[in-house]
Amino acid sequence: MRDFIEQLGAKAVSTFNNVSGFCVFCLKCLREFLQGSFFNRAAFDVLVMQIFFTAYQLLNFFVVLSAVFGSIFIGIVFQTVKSFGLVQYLGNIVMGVVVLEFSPLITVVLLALRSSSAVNSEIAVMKVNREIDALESFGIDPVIYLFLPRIISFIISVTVLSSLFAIIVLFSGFIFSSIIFEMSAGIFSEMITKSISVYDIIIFYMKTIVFGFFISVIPLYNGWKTQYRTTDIPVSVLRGMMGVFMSIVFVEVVLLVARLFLNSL
Amino acid sequence: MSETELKERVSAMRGERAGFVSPDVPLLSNLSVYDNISLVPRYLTDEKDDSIRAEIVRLLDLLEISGSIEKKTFQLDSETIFKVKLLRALMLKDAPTVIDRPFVMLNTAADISPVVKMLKKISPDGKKVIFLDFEWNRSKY
Repeated sequence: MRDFIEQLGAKAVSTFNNVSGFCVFCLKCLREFLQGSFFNRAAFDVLVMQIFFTAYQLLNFFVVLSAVFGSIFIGIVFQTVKSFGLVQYLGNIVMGVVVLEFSPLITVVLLALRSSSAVNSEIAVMKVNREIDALESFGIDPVIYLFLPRIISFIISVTVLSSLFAIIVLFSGFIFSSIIFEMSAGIFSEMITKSISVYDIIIFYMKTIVFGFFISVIPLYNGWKTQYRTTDIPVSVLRGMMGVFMSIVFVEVVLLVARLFLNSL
Repeated sequence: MSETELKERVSAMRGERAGFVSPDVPLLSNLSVYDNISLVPRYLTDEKDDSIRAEIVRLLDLLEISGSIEKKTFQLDSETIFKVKLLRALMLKDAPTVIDRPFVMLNTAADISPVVKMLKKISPDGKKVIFLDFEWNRSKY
């Protein structure tokens, strides 16, 4: 019994230390962001390069994926809407499900798989190789030089790519609506504009910002917390990616509830 | 100095502002030679990029490694890595340079004369340089 309580206590202390360490890390990043530290030219170069790696390099693949995946999904949705006779709700379904929920979710999952894992392992390797210590010994703050540019680049990338996905999906929606429902462009766009509120747009961009923040800050923190052992690198990436997955689910649920609440006002 | 004493002394000095040339303070592997050296002045000072580049190119020429300017760390031999670390340390202009265990980094050097020769070429007069090494290497200085 005593062993059990000791184990429970140790687990609680470890979890508390982990969570408080993560919160302190986030606050430090936020403080440097508010102070505009990313305008330091060395950090700004990292920001530009990171946007290049995270968003620009992915662009061709992303556009093709959005067109294919978006078209398939919207085709299925439109067929279902037609067979259940829900044409009057088409705008709400397209905006509410496909654009506002599906676009940021697919974007963030793709970026998490591609870039979060890369950032996590990059920072973990730098930690194990003592490159982060080397930066500190020269008076270069890793939060300003390494972490902040990556966080900002992820937020920008998720926001831009989600918007692009939404535009492509809407364009696919227009094509499918004209094929399946023989709907004109004017009617389709009127239906879409009627079914969207300001709250929806605010929640959409809030979601992309929060997603971008979490899928960068969690792998960065886990990479930074890696012990000085190469065997710790896969453990760090594993923890980071699990954290990213949990945060995506958490943010999705919280913001879905928030959107439903705001729209009911 | 024993290894433990040496490491303690280096740790203590890390608290102070100094340009380290040490086996424990590596170059950044994802940056080129130029980016490794220019990082310190670009991050810490307001000096113009053109002037930083001109200064680095001049120093690389003096050390005869200007051909490596765009190379990454994994493409460099141990002597070039030492030279790049030395130039990076010298970029901290208002701080002393600490050369920690030079013979670990320059394992083919018979004595300290190649390092002194490098310093005479590139280091401004009056620049404080501190060597840290094991007792058994005393004869090499």
